[in-house]
Amino acid sequence: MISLDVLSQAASLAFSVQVIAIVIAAAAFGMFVGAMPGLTATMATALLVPVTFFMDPVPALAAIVAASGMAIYAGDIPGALLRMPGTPASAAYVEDSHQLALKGKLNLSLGVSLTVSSVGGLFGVVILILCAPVLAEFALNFTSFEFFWLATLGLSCAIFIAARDPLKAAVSLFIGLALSTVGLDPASGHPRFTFGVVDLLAGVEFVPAMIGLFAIGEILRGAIRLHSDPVPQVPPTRGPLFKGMGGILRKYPRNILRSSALGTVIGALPGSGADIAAWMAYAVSKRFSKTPEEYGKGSVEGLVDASSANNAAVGGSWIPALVFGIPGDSITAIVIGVLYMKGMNPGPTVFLINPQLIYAVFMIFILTNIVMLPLGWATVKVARTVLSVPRRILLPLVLTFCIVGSFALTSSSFGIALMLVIGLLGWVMEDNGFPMAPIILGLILGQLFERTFVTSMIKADGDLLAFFERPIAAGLGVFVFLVWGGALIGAVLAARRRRMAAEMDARL
Amino acid sequence: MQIADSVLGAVFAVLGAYMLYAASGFPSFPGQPYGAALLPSLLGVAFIVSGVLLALRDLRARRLGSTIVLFAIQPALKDRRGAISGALIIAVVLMQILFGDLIGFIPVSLVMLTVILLWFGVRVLAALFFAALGTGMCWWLFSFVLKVPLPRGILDGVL
Repeated sequence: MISLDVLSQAASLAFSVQVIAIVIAAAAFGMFVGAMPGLTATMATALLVPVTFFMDPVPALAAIVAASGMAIYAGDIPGALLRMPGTPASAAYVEDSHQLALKGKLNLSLGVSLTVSSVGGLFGVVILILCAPVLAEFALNFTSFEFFWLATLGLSCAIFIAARDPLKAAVSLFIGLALSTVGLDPASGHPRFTFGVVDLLAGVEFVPAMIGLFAIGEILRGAIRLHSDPVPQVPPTRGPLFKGMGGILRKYPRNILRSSALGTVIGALPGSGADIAAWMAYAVSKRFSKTPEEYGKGSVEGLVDASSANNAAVGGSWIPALVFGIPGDSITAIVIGVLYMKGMNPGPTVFLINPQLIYAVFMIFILTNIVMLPLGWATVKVARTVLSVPRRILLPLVLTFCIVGSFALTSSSFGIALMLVIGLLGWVMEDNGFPMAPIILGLILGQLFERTFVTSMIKADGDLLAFFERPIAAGLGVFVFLVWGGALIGAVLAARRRRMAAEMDARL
Repeated sequence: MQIADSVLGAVFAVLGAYMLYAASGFPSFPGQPYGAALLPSLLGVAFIVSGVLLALRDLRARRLGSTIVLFAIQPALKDRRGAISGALIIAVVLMQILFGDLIGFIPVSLVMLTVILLWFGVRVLAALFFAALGTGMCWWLFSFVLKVPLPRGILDGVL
């Protein structure tokens, strides 16, 4: 158990004036970015990283926690107002929240998602606080063999669980892994794929790569469509936001609990995050609802389930990120990068070496989910103004921010060049249905994957069976093979079904 | 920009072949077969396999009557204004890469922001205002608060 000493240290780190100010500023930033359609929660996090690079660990992580949590909620606002989800995590129930708004129940819709977002978020955090230290203690016995399997599991989940098209997700992942091999090789120090560029010896810097992937593509898409898409009109907002919330919380306690638990678990699975949590919670909710016919036409129940799940997933996704250094989704992939930059290498030892920092982050998590209520209320009140900031002004300003942010990490224009090249690559790939998250996962996990494999092989003198000699490693290894086997069988069955369907069509 | 999976598959297969070729030149770790070449070689094979699978899937879909073209540009990009907007975004970044060090972040950013804002249809005074605002905010946050050595260029000595 942790000592009171650690907790009081953590509290003094978390509740300093500077940190609180940063939390509020980052939360407001997250609200703004999340509320703009086309600017995602991941983008909010990505844009913050260059700024956090220059902060102490606690304020840096506080900024990310605050911004990402807020952005996930704020995505609901344009969803309800314009039927355009602000972030992918809000896409599952955009139809319901928009239908409610059309029926004149806009405040009910946004009030419900705000309240259950906060409750779901708190649930995820509590699970994070309870589970992470226990898991970490268990993981202290892990060696390179176990970490190799964990990295493999994380990479496999990114392909098989999260993606609609596993083949394309696999290619995305390979690209990320290939990018991670650029630079000096981790075992022998041999330069690889540097093409004589000195800057590439240090490898592909992750911040410019991430800004390129998550921001440049969106900016390009926005700019290209700027002249062809009409400006959407925002209907007016009136009345108190939290009216009738108590009744709704009392009416659906089981839904909130179920979806928060589901969201936390899905968030904790490597490779799947808030957006998948929302979709699954929505599907489960519809399956068990007494009124499934209302779903998609303004169902408050579906809104309650999906909206609590996506915020619960935020806390859940931090569990594997902190304990094993395996990201739960693209936001925690960024978080892991930040942890490494801050010298707080994620993994079980982080709870031994820096417990006060981790507990300070937990406190900020709780704080953020509480601050969410007043800030969300304020955002809904000013949503009309926020959403009317023209994209033609916003896009160039965000672009400038991206340029400076990429420059900041390398202190040279090489960072900007890296951002542009990877951004263009990501833009073309995303237009062709290749997901972005596996690229960043591959880039971050690639080094861990390769290093743990080569170290393990040096220890075991090249004996591959050593990966199954320790009990936990063997268990994890078998699990990885099960994931792969299950996916292969699924693919074969699906192909057979398709072929049979095609033959039936041909015969008819 | 839509590119058919068969074309992309071929591109990935070629990339894989290149990685295999390049990896064959990497030294292995003394005393054991696994070293710097391992992951690149595995990835090379992975790219070839997935590239071929992508291409096969696309070809089979074509045989079953799919009419996806090899290469297509979305309507918004075909529109001349859309294409210029996209090109301008890239140009803004390129100008900062090419001339940022020489001329300095502030002048390049001011000029490029004004140009792109005007092209996006913002009125002249507003464009100048937001260009100055964006440049100023970034300079203040990164150079002043975070102490990032943004290039001063021709303004060296003035700032």
